[in-house]
Amino acid sequence: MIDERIYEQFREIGRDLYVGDLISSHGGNISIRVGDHVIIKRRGAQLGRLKMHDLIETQIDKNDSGVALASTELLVHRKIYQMTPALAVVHCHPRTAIAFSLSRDEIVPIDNEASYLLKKVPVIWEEFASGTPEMAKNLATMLQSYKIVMLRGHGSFAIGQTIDEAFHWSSTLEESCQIALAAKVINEPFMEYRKMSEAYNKW
Amino acid sequence: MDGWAGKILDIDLSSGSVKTYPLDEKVARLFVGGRGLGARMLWDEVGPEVEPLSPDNVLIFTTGPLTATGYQTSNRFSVTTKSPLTGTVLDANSGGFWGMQFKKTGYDALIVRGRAEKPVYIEIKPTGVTINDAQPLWGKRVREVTQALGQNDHRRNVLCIGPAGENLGRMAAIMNDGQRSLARGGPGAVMGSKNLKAIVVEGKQRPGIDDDERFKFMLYETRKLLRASPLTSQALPEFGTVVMMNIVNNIGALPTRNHQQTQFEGAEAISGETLTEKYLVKNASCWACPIGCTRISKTDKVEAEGPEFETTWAFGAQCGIDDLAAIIEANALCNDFGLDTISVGSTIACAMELVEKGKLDADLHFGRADLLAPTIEAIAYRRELGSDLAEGSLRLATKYGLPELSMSVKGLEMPAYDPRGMQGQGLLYATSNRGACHMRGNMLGLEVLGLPKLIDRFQVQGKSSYVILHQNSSAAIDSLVICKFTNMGVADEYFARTLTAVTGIPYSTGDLIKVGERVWNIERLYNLREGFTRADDTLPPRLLNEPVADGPSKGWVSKLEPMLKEYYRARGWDEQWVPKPKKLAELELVNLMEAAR
Amino acid sequence: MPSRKLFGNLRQIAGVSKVETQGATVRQAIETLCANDTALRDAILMDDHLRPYVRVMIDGHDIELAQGLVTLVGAEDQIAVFPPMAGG
Repeated sequence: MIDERIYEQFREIGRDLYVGDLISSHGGNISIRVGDHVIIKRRGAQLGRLKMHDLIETQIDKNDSGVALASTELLVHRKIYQMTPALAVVHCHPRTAIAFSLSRDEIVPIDNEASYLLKKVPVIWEEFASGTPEMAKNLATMLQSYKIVMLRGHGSFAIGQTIDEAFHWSSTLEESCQIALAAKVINEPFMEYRKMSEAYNKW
Repeated sequence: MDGWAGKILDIDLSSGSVKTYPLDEKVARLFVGGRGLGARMLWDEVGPEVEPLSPDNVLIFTTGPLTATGYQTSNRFSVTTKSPLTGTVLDANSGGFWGMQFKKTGYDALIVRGRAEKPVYIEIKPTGVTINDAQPLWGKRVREVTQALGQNDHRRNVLCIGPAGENLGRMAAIMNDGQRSLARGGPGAVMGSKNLKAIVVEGKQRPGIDDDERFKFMLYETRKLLRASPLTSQALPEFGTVVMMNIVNNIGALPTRNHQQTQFEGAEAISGETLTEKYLVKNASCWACPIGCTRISKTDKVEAEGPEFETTWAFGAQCGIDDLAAIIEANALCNDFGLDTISVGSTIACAMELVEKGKLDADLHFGRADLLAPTIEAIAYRRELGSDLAEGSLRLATKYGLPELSMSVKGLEMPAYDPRGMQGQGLLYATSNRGACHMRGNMLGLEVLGLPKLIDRFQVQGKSSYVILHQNSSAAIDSLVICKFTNMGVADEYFARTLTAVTGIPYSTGDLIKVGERVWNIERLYNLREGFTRADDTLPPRLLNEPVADGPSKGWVSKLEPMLKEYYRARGWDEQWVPKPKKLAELELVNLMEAAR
Repeated sequence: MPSRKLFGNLRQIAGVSKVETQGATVRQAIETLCANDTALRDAILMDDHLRPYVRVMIDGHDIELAQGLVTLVGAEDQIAVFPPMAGG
């Protein structure tokens, strides 16, 4: 039995991800760690319209009956829980951030909020969109040092203590990329306002 | 190896020998410092055959690679020993100035073994280490000793015990810089058993820093975050920790009269708001701390540091006392005698309930503020009934026939949160390696303050995950060693990057949390070797069986068992709470487990 | 009429620790209370939301786990408002 309060967190953040344009109708995923189990969205369910029966519980280290129903990205989520202190994972498709990921190896925010919260977001590359064990490992390794990482051309994976926290990093990244895009359109010389900001590149 | 001093000082008080040896680099990388380094050293030094108050027990004082670097709150240090109160592995840590000064003497750790024939004190100066006669100081209280030995905050710092430690009271604290304490679990008694009155330090060496530029950046960013957070920039400095009184009472999780109730009608009178309005003189802070949560308060009788929330609760709600002036005075007395305020307050409350239940014939009654000071003095000097109380609540309640009235886990008295109103906190207490403790992964942030996000305090499913993460994170922070209050504004990833900048060894955030997990596991292995079992991970029967009678937690008991089951599995331990081989391999602890069997 | 208790620095700002207030929801109760006191309003609300770490409880139960600011308030209910606090 999944606690109703846990479902409530999934439902709220799932809806916010969709309404906030961070995913398409069937895109993205959310999971949380519960002891040595993971609770994750059912395969094919829509994040923006989650019902209690859309949540699947399965083990982090072992396969059980839940696996067949779970999202195809279960592999990646499991790897993250195995390799990092994450208690929640939010995977979404922030559009502007995806656009930036096509031409950069890392995204270094220029706005105040994201500089403050994220400092730097690495971009990693994957060959198969649905995720291979190697990709899962690379991603989880990155998430040992960074709370949000971009997969080039695909989307972001963010970790936190709660879904809420991982959602926070995700929406902060997209907002930051929209600001960066607007600054590019304005195309005027950048006036640095952040002390010691050159160190962000080395974060 | 930047950050670490690279040396351990080893003093045997029986023979008078003073030795120095290098800090093992691998041990340093895996256990970092503070609590972690202490636990690793204790593992080799003190086996199950050693009585805590015998000369074979040791006191291990440790600092960490961040200590004395000037990083925010890098003033802390730790003492590790086998606890005379609980028999478990024990570490207690403290702020102030002493830890910073000790690190500057050029050592990461000091191990004190044996027993001096007559009272002595140790002096560590740039000119050398000496063991000096302390007979004129024996019997003297903490303030007087600290002054007599020349305490000077920035240049010369004194750590000592008071009469409680000399008299081997099991709740005796070690005090540093006059009024700061390494309190829980009775380390002061271990120091007393060694005839060691004090340790004085004067140092001149600054720790090396591998990447100065990155370190400066981390300093800057940390300062920014501490300033931006309303918790570290306003809440703590303005009202100190005792501001928690009203909120914990409001949710019905404030243990009252030895946990017979969970709300105290006198909470307002002993709250942070009242303290600030009536008794606060000024704030103070530890070395290199921009937060400054310390209060100096004043009554007609005393002017002293504190009281903190836990202390105010222990002598207040737990004893049914609403006289804040009496509590301030009780706190000052405990500091001067060298006593753990949480354990003393809760042990007095336990005695009061024993009297109430007709098991003990004594003039100790809930609500009687006038009884605090004389009782504390009797405990410190082990006079009459005070001698029973000095043994802690579990031995006291056992002697008088109702052990279940001891509000403790593994013999260590619980702090100020009732597990029936904060389910996660109950799991934390039950599993804590040194006994019930709120400093080992406090659920206050998640279950009450909404930091980073409010999780229903009555929720049971998934609580183990939060408790484990915070236990690991706390153990890591205790190994750096810095103050947990920085964590209210600054996330673990900053600490990992600072550790990297200082030592030159790359630690990811995940690596740092893994250090904490390793520390938690070696402590667990230590307790296992001492003969503790799964049955010791529990709570007093009252909290498991007696539902809260009224208020916001009405009807609740602690639902410990399902949380424990989830917890063991998630920890990678078997049903007997023995870490599984896979987990030990992952944590590089395999060799130790073999020795434990 | 529901009563409201203020804690920490909110008490210093408002000059009182306990007041009677009106309103069917928490938001209305707060707006009524702060009608003539912008400093108090600023300490509790930011735009139309609760400030980070400000906790509001009805009879010991946090409104974040109910319906937030639109949580209904009964005539006998006691609302407690806590500014950001920390400790332990």
